[in-house]
Parts: sequence; structure tokens; C-alpha cells
Amino acid sequence: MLRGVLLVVCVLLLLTFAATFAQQSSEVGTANLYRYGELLQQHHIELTKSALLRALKNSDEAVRYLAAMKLAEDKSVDAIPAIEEALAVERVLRDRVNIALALGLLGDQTGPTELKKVCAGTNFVPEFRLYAVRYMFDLHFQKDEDCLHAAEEIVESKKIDSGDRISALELLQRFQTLTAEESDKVLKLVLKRLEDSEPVVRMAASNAVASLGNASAIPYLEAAIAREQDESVRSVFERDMKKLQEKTQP
Amino acid sequence: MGACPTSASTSLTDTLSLTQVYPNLLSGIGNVARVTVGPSTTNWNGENITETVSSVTGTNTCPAGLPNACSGSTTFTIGAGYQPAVKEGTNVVAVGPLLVGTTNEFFDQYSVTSNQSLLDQYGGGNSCARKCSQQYYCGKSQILNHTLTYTFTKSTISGTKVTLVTVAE
Repeated sequence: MLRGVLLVVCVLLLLTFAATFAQQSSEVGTANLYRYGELLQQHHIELTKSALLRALKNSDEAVRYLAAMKLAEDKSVDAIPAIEEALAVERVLRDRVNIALALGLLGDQTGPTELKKVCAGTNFVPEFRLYAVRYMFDLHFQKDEDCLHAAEEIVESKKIDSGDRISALELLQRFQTLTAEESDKVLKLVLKRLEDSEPVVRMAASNAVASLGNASAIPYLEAAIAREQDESVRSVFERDMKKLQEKTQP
Repeated sequence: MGACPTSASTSLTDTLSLTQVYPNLLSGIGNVARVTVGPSTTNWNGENITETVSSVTGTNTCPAGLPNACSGSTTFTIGAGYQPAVKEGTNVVAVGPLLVGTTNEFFDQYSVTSNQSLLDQYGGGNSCARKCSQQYYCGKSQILNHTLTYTFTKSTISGTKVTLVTVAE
């Protein structure tokens, strides 16, 4: 009987120890930047042109877009028809925008046309609409109406994930040759996000305000500093205020 | 090694959002910086840049136990394109958009990840910050000396406690 009780106690102690250890152990790391070829090799794809062309039809969605990007990096212009074909049958949105980018980098107009379509598609996942906005900048389209509207819509929406609102705030700063009316709208959208419920979005908005460099934003940033309760966020606001003041000094 | 760029400037362009790797990771992740080297009259593509990173003393408001974000010894290649990704166990998972290789630019990433919500695990209030000093070198010549600040902020995703990491210059 005593032996049985001891056994149960031992098992309980072991389980408690295991649970405590599992709770406390944390695996810490960082993001890393991988070359397209490096990731393809991790998927056991050779980097020859024929292997890359075959990889455009691979069942793994990551392999398909990485193969397209590697072909673009290698400047394989003669691969354009195969990449266009891959885009035409692609159903995964992340792949569609990434393959469209590869085509755009190879100078094929199908790429930017597809990216514009994704910017305009209000039913598409915001994350990938924002990829399309970003890639249009990479392809040197400094102001596309559909992409501007996509970024504005995403910044404005309260239903959208904070990470996407932050990305949209970053992208709004990059549009060039905006009309006075468009610039005014962008600034208003950014200023509104200084009151976002998420501290990380408020910090991104403050950064965008500093980057836009419009002196009329100073009172709004001052008010945001005055009402901010979180010390770390307030110090980001103060740093951005300093940048804005330096930028707008006559 | 041949001639080297003599200057560099950074711009934080791409936020790497935790939602892309949630729920496998509960803390993270950070930003990608686009670093432009000069003089622009020369094409520096293919040249390698190294870094040193250290904490700025007296500026850390984070609790003990939080990982030291101020570390790194990467070699960067100017003009190369990348896919940011994180390791989740044995898998490498892509996060964020593709980074297109651009003449006279290289990419750096400032990030921290953990499978635990770090501020909930180690305490330390709703947010904390850690300032780092970073230098870029071409050979032995320093081409940039700057600081950046990691901010750790408590949040929730779908009701789960997480720690978001953002970076500002």
C-alpha cells in the first residue's frame, strides 16, 4: 500500500516538474534573410535552368514562387512564357503576387498588370494586397491609384490585423507625386492612427508622421504625447517629434 | 578585395509581423532595414559588408531574462535579393514579402522571436525598450555608426497573450 502511494507521489512530482519545465523553456531566435537559391536547395531543388522550370510546377507552393524569383535573379528572359503559364494556373495568392513580381523584374508587363489587379481586389487578403503595393514600388511604379486606395483602405479599417495596418502605414509614406488633396487624405489617415488601440500601430503612425514631414502634424503629435500612458510608446513619439521638428524647421 | 563604399544610410522599410508566424511563435518579430551605400557613382553590387552590434549602456528598460537583441555578426551582400524567414522547430517558414535586390542597397533584419510571450514570461510591465549601437564595415573601414531601439509591447492575438517587437531608428 505504502509503496503504491509513494509511486503515485513520484509520478505526480515528475509530472509537475515536466509541466513547469515546459512552461519556462522558451526557444529564442531571430528572423533570417535567405537567398532564393538557398531556400530552393533546402527543398532539394537544383539551381539549373531546367530544374527551375520544372520547379514552377512543384506541388510545394514555396518552391513555385522561389523558382520564379531565382529565374528572375538569373535574368532568364527566355523563361518568361513558362513563368506566365505558372501565373495563369496559380491559385495561391502569395504565389500569384510573388510570381507576378518575378515577371515584372524580367520586364514582362503581365507582372505589374497582375499586381494592379491584386491591389484593386478588395476581397483579397490584406497581407497580400500590401505585398502587391510594395512590389509595385519595387518595379518603379511610384503612384498607382489602385495600390494607393488599397493602402488607404487597410490603414483605415479597424477590422484588419495590426501588422497589416502597420505595413500600410509604412507604404503610404512611399507614394510620390500625390496631389494636394491626396497628400491631405494620407496625412489625415496617418494622424487618426495615433489614437489606435494598439500601441505598436500608434508607434508606426508616429514614425509615418515624422517621415511625411508636414509641419501641420506637430500639434497632433504633441497631443498624442500628452495623452500617451505607455512610457515606451511616449518615448518613440518624442523621438519622432524631434525628427519632425528638425525636418520642418525653416 | 577591391575598393569599398565609404558611406551608408538606413531606412526601416518592412515590418515583419508576428501574425504571420502565430501561434507557433508568441513573441516577435521586428523590421527589415534597407541600407543604401555610396558614393552612388559606383556600382557596389557584390561587395560584402560586415557588422558589429552592442547594447547602449543605461538605456535598457527590459527585465532580466529577455533575450539580448543587440547582437549580430552577419555578412551582407550588396545588391542581393532575399526572402525573410524564421525557423519553427526544424522548418524554415517564410515571413513577409520578398526583398528585391537593388543596386547599391543591402538588407539587414532586426528581429527577436520566441515561442513564449516574453513580457508575460519575464514580467516588466506593458512595454520595455532596449537600445543598440550598430556599425557597418567594408573591410576595416567603418561606413556607418548608428543606433536603433527595440520596443517590446504586450498584446493579444485572438485572445492569446503575445509580445510584439518593433524597431525604430
